[in-house]
Amino acid sequence: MGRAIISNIQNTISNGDYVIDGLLLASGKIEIEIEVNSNCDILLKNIIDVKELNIVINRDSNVVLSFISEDEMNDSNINITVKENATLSGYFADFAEKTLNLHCKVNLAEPGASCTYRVASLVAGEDRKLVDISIDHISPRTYGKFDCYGICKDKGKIVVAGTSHVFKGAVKSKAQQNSKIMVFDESSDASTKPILKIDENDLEASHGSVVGKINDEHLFYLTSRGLSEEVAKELITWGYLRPILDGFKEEDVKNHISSLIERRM
Amino acid sequence: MSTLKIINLHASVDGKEILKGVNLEVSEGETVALLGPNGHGKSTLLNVIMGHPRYEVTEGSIYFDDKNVLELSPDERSKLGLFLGMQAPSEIPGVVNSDFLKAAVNAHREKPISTYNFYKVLDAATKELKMPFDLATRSLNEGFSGGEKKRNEILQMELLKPKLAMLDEIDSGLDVDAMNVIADVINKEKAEGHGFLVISHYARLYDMIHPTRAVVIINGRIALDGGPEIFKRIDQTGYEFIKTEYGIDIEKEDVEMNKVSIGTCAVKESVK
Repeated sequence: MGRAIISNIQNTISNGDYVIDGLLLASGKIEIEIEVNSNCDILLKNIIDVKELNIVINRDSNVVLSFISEDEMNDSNINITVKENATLSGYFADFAEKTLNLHCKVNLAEPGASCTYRVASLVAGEDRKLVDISIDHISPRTYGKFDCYGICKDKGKIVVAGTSHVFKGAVKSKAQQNSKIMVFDESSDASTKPILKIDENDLEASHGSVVGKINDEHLFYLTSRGLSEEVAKELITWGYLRPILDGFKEEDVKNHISSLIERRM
Repeated sequence: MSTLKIINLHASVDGKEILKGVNLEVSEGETVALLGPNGHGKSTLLNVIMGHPRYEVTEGSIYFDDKNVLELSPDERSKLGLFLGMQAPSEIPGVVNSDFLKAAVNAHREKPISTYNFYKVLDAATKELKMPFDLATRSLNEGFSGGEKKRNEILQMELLKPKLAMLDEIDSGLDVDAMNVIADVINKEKAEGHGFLVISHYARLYDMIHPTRAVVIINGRIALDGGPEIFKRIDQTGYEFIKTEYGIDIEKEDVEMNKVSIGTCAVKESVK
């Protein structure tokens, strides 16, 4: 079964698989409301000209939002509100070329709302990228996790900004951030800005951020088995970015992302 | 002749000299037990032979198949027929074990192996090593138990068929059954004429693979080179006889102590 196409400016959807294809949209703004107690899988692609995407996930719904970028993108804003006991699983496969400015804001607005967001980004050559993900914990017992895995090489530049804000009253909430960016050469530039804003005492919060070069021990292990340094680096890169494929359902989409990784490696 | 020749080898790590003039020759098809107290240079020697970037060779030379090994990168050394089964194999997240194994096998071939043939070979090798096949589909060494990591090292050796395999404490963390499996594979490779340089602290593995020689490294040099009776004696009595009979003082391993505090709550003094 194929995915149902979302192309209107305002949409209300329930159970099912959907696709938002930027090439089929009439406007740079799109709004989606997911009905209560629904299970939805939404794939976003070609959203070069989408300036604003607003999604509301109503009570007890589970949404997978997977997103591929492969072209230049200027200032795209995604705003997602997650309501009571609803979950959002976000996957962002970023293989855009040149410029990407993505701002994604998730509001965990009601008790028990949950969000996990994983980003895989490959940055090379003339690429200049900003990935800015913020998760606001407004209500009690909310859960937010943001993982970013990036590869930066050949003069590429990336800034990953992650902000988790736990508001007063969001008791028993959990906020986690984890960013790992591997820089292949001295000409590349990567930085992460993990920010935790905490206005509540009764919570769990953690953040980890690593920007570093490829692990010498890993490289030695692989090359000691006969792999050239180039092939070893490709394998490590592939291993770093491959887990993002788990967020995409269709084999042809997985294959497409694989070919994007291979092309850019 | 696939002979390994090490001449007056000096090597340092982080500016500290570990190997202080190693001379050693391992002939084709030989199985040599490499012994010595902790910190005296056994693992350093194997890592230097394989080309680990952390170790700096300051003097001396290594030849294998009459080629100057020190001029080669680790991958070129592997293609020459050298293999190092590591004491603590790296865990590499996301790199699928079977992808890595296939890339390694292909690196040693002129034409890439077909996927069908690769999985046939892999299936046979994992069965021989009594490894669950799903280990091949997991991230390389990630979440593997100590024993699984060691079997995975031997699996790589089995797939790459090196002329000289250097095994660094490949038996640590293995139960008796696993050790039997690994010893069987080593003995099979020996029968095919492949050589071994094996570090172990226990006679059990040596009893299973029957080394033809035992070499002891003390203070960064080869102190003893003789028959298998040496490892049996060391297993029974330790290294003390080397001091009493050969007059070689065994330097104590330099162990960096953690800083500790002594005294009362009010008076603390940091000592090294």
